[in-house]
Amino acid sequence: MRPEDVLLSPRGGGSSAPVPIDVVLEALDRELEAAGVRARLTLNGQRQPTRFFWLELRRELLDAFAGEDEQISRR
Amino acid sequence: MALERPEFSELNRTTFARLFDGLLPTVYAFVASRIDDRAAAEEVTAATFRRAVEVAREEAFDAAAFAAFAFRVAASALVDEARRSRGTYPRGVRASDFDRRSDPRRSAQATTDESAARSFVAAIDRRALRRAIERLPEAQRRLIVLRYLDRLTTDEQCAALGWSRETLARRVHGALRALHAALAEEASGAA
Repeated sequence: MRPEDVLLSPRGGGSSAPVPIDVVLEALDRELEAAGVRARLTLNGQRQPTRFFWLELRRELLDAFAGEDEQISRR
Repeated sequence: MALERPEFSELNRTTFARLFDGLLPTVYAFVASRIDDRAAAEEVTAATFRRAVEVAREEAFDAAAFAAFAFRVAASALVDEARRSRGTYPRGVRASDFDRRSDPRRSAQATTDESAARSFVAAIDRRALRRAIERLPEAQRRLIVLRYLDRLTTDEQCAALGWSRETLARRVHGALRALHAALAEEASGAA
């Protein structure tokens, strides 16, 4: 499980059902899943955003959001 | 997250912040798996969210669809970054705005996916399976990486690839069957 899987997220909210896999392909599907887990572990540091980047971008987008709201309320 | 398609401007900051916090790690991971340079990965991720928000403002906003939409934008931003890094496009400009030659998106897309595919293949235990994946056509290998390395949801895979759910389901099975057949062939050859 990825760290982001435990966050409250709009992803996987139920509208995106997984593609069902044929029984004969299930073992291969599991083998590839396991490889994906290992690859993500290997890439873990590279794939994590820094806290600084996260907060800066969050602030920028929320500021832009607030600016837009002000423009709208002035109309 | 079920919102009844409010206009984006009416969405409150808390809801958007929660949406962003849930999505940023996954979008960043998707981008960073395909770009080795952290600064470039941050730039593409930031551009993705700015572009997604910009477009979402212009259309009826659906929070549940925002995640899939963000991956479509990210996939496109990665292609632009790959093309820009090999050309002379200034940062902040979409290469697609300039390029009028025969469409080079396919090769740029392959470039962005190579890094992620290499990481995924390296994590596979069985040598035969590694070889089978490397022999897959590019589109099928890309799908395998999105599904098993990035672990995108079905809707996100559809958005990133520009395919319908039916097409995606058909091609997932096509790719897995091709791998299965290649493994069976190798096993019978070894026997």
